[in-house]
Amino acid sequence: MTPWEADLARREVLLDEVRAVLIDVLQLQQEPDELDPDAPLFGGGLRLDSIDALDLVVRLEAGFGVRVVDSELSAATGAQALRTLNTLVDRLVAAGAT
Amino acid sequence: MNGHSLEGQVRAIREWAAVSSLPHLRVVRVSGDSAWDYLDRLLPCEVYLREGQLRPTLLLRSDDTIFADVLVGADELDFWLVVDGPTEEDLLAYLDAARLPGESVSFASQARSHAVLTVDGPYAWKVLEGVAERGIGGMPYLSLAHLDDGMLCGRAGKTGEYGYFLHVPLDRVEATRAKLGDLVQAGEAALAHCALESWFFDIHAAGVADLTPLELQLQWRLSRRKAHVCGMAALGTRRAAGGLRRTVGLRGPLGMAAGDPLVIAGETVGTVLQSAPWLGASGGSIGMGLLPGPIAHPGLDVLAVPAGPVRTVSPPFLVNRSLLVKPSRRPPDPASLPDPYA
Repeated sequence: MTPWEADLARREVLLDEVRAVLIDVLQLQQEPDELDPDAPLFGGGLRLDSIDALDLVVRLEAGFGVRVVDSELSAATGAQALRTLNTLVDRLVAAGAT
Repeated sequence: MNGHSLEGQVRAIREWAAVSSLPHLRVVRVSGDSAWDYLDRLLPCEVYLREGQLRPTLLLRSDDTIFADVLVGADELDFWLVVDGPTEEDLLAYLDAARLPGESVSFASQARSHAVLTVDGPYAWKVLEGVAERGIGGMPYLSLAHLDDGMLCGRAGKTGEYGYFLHVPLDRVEATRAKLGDLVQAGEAALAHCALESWFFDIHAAGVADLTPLELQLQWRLSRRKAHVCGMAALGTRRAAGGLRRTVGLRGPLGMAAGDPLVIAGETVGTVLQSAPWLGASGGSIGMGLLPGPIAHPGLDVLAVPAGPVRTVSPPFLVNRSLLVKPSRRPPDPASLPDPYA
């Protein structure tokens, strides 16, 4: 396996774990593969609201042992992290989740 | 105000607001005792809608490719379909084909009585204060409201900013435009550019014509329960077969063009579907690519197009100012907000 293939494999694992947390927190009926990684989490997409987002962040932070949103992030960066499953995984990777 | 460059139009949408005329957007009123049952059979999404609620969905062909990009909405008495993609003739034929003999439902195209204007931008809600007496700023995302003078207003949009469509009686269009003031007029190319930047589906993009909701990451617009709806059986078969491709965000320091091959170490692994220049100071380009599922992830930095290297990234490509502007609070000075292209 090349280094980039290993990176993508690690990312795929993180994505699946975030999908599982999302399904559990929101008690979604969908299968994991129905949660597209670039679909919007808020608004018309998976229709999260601010309470859902808080639950999701708490669960992710507890599960991965990293800060998903913290006071050192600008409002814009914090908002960007919660836009899609992929931006959440980006944030977990940046925060050192493995 | 007309005559702005494409970049000028896009920056108006990103920094304040711009108005657009969308003659190709079809608005259809669906009425009758069986309207809900008809829509439940027609649409691949759930149609349990509160009064005043809008929901994005699709109309599919029987082979599960996308026929139309749709917003369905409910008001006090009727349902509304706001449809992008097909001609009016093709749309009405599609709608008619789903009607059962003798079913108590009618659908009326509004094309000869109304026009559609859209206003998009982080301050679009403020601009619209001049059009409507009731507070547009309080409209939730994906909602519908009747305004004065027979106008219907929906908050939706495909730019990632506050976006509203106004369904305006033809004899009120000029007066409505006058009330909007000296706004930049954005054309379809500017709206398409913004849709790509914010990762909204653009049914007019040539590269997506033969793709399905699975590849385009639009499953959130469908309900698995709707297996009986046109296209959903084929989609279920495709999903079960696996081996799917998926769209990815692309960024490169140089140009890329729709149709360009995406190559790893000399082997073509995918295609660029859409592209646009990046308007930030760093230049280069952004795009939407299609890659095999196992490698369709952000962070892939060994890809190339003919002009040079590209890497996969997580869209949306920018931080929309609308995320930082709240109509319910004192609006910030636009000059104090971060550059969306920084």
